[in-house]
Amino acid sequence: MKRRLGFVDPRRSVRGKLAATVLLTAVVVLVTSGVATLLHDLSVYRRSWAADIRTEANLLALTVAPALAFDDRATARRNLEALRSRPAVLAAGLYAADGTLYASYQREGVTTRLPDIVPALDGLNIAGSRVELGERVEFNNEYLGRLYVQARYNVKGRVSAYLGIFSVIALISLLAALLFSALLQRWLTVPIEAIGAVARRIIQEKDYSLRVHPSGRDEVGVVVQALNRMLGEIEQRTRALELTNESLRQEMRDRQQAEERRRETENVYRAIGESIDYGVWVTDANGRCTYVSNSFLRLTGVTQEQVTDLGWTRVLHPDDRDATIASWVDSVRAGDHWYREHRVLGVDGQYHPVLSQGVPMRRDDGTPIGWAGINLDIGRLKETEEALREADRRKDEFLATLAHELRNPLAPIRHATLILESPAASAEQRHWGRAVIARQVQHMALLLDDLLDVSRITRGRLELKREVVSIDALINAAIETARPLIEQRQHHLTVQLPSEPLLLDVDPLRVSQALSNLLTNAAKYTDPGGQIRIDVRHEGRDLTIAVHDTGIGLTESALSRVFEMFSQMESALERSQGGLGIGLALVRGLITLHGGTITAQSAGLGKGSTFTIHLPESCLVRQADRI
Amino acid sequence: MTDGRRRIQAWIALTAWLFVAFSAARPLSAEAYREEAVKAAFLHRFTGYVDWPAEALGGDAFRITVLGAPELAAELGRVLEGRKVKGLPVAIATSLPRSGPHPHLLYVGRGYAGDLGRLLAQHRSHPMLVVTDQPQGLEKGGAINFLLVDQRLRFEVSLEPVQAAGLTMSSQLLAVAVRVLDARSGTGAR
Repeated sequence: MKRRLGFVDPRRSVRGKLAATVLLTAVVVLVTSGVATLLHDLSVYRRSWAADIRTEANLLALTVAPALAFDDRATARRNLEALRSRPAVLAAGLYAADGTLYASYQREGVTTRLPDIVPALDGLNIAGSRVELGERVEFNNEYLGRLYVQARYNVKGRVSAYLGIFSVIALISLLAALLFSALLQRWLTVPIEAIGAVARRIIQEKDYSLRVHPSGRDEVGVVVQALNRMLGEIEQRTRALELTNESLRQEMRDRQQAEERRRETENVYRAIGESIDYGVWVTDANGRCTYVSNSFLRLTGVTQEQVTDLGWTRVLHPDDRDATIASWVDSVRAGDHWYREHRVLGVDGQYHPVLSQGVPMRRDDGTPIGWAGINLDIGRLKETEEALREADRRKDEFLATLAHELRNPLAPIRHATLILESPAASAEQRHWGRAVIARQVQHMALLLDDLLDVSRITRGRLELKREVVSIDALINAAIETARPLIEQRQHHLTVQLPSEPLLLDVDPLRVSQALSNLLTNAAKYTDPGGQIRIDVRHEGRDLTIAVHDTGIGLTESALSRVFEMFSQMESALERSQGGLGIGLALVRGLITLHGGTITAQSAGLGKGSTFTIHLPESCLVRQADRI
Repeated sequence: MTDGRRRIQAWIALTAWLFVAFSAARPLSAEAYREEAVKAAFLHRFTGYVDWPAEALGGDAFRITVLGAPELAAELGRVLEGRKVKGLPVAIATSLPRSGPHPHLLYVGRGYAGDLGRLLAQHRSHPMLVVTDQPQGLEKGGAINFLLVDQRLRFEVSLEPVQAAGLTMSSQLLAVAVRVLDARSGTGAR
């Protein structure tokens, strides 16, 4: 680019064009005038030449007439010989009246043969460079014969001579044209080149303060003035444009910054929206949804477009939909804030409880812009609510069960009391009565102890009294407690202990209490004649005590709740096996106090169940420690 | 060159001479007739190269008198049949009139036995062109005299009688004349 600006191609320069124009004009004029002159000259030459030849022939015819008239061949020849002074005439023949060749003339070196009899030619005949002329020879109205002249029409010589002249003229003219173009250059191209130089510098340096030095008052001078004025204009405008440009650039920067800030703010809002359970939502002033957070879209598996307007209502639970729409329409109409709980169909096929709430957005003058709100996940809230309600229900049940359990022993006791008070009662009857009362009271005491223990554990008031005890002693104590019920229900009890003796550092009373509770439970929930097995394993650092039975088993849902308070199975009431449903909760509490855990397994209803106690390493007493 | 060749050439020349001699020797033949015809044509053509004074041509005819050549007179009559000379109809006579206008053209053939010099002297200064076919014709006062040169009819001119008769003769005619006697010097121009 720079090279092109700095270097001017001669074909593109004014100087070159000027020279070319002048030369071309000269050539055109020369050629045109030359050709026209040549053509005109040739035509004139031909005409004058023809007239010349003709005059010559006429004269000759007159001259030769007497020779012919008086049959003077020698004179005739002499007359024809006069043609020697005309180099153009090649040959001439004089024919007598009878048509025979009478006398002839032939230029030296010309081989043309004259016809023997007179050619039938009257006047001029031009054939190429040859001219023939036939002329009657007569005298006194008497036809004497005919003169025939052959001449060379020397057009080539004429043209070549003319071309010679033309070449000289052309050479001189072209030299003159070159001279003129050189002069013109000085007058014309010097100022124009000055303009060009300034223009190039302006283009290269972008310096619009440059001016062309004014030349004459001719058109170029006018151009220079115009250019200078234009440059002034351009300079002003460029300055104005630069100012505008700078302010525009500043404005753009401001806008970009504003845009960045806006985007940041938006990202902040978006992040806030995402951090809120199911995000935020925005509607227009007419309540048509325009935006919903991605978290909501992820939950429902629909697209932003699908929730637009009232599209979001499609994912509502059918039972909730109409009421939700109605409340939303009411809120929009009233311009009041909206609060609504409903269930939303998730992409997992489950309905999720959602709390949607929003407030109207307004301009400073109070006109509504739209609504903005959030979607809260109230699933856990609902679960807690449900759990609380369940716990409440269980507590009611427990109270009923407790009242029942406490009332049950009262009837035999009242009966025994009546017998004891009866004078007619035999000693045997009195003994039975006392045994009944003692047994029932003990049962009630156990019941109340359990209740108290659970209460203590719940409140953290139970303290363990640890001592080193063998596993055998613990198991035996538990079996001893449960034995009456096991035997009563005719269960078959087997115990499997590890081969080596095992010592534990636990509260023996509480552990055996837990074990006896498990055994009692097993006996209670197994139909008479069942199998109950105690399996103690010590593998590595783990100690597990499992109680298997072939009883009624547990359902999947029951397994998860079996260790909770008041979780006695509903059917237990009908079984009239008694119990407050706090046994397993008590067991777990006791084991947990020892730092252990308890788990329940069952293959299902009627397939028996297994409760396994895991005791931690801290409860084990190693042989080495003991020594 | 060999003798044989020279002999053949001699034979050819002899044959050619015999042929020419035989054809020329015929009396009153076509050859003679042709000579009269050529003379008649020459006479006619002479009139084109000579101008008579206007007053001489005031008559009703261009008069030609032919003396001593009856065949030529007849031939001339045929040549000029229906033609006009100097704008006038032609009248041919074979004798000079005793009175009345002189002929414009007087031809004196070989058959004229009289004294040509005397005859011409009588008619001197008349506007009359005298053409003779006589030896020494010019010396006897003729303006134009026929003669045979190389078997061809030629003529000689004397300007003195032409001027004396008040006639003008074209130089073209002089150009083809065998001999021109100048009026003053009386010598041949050529």
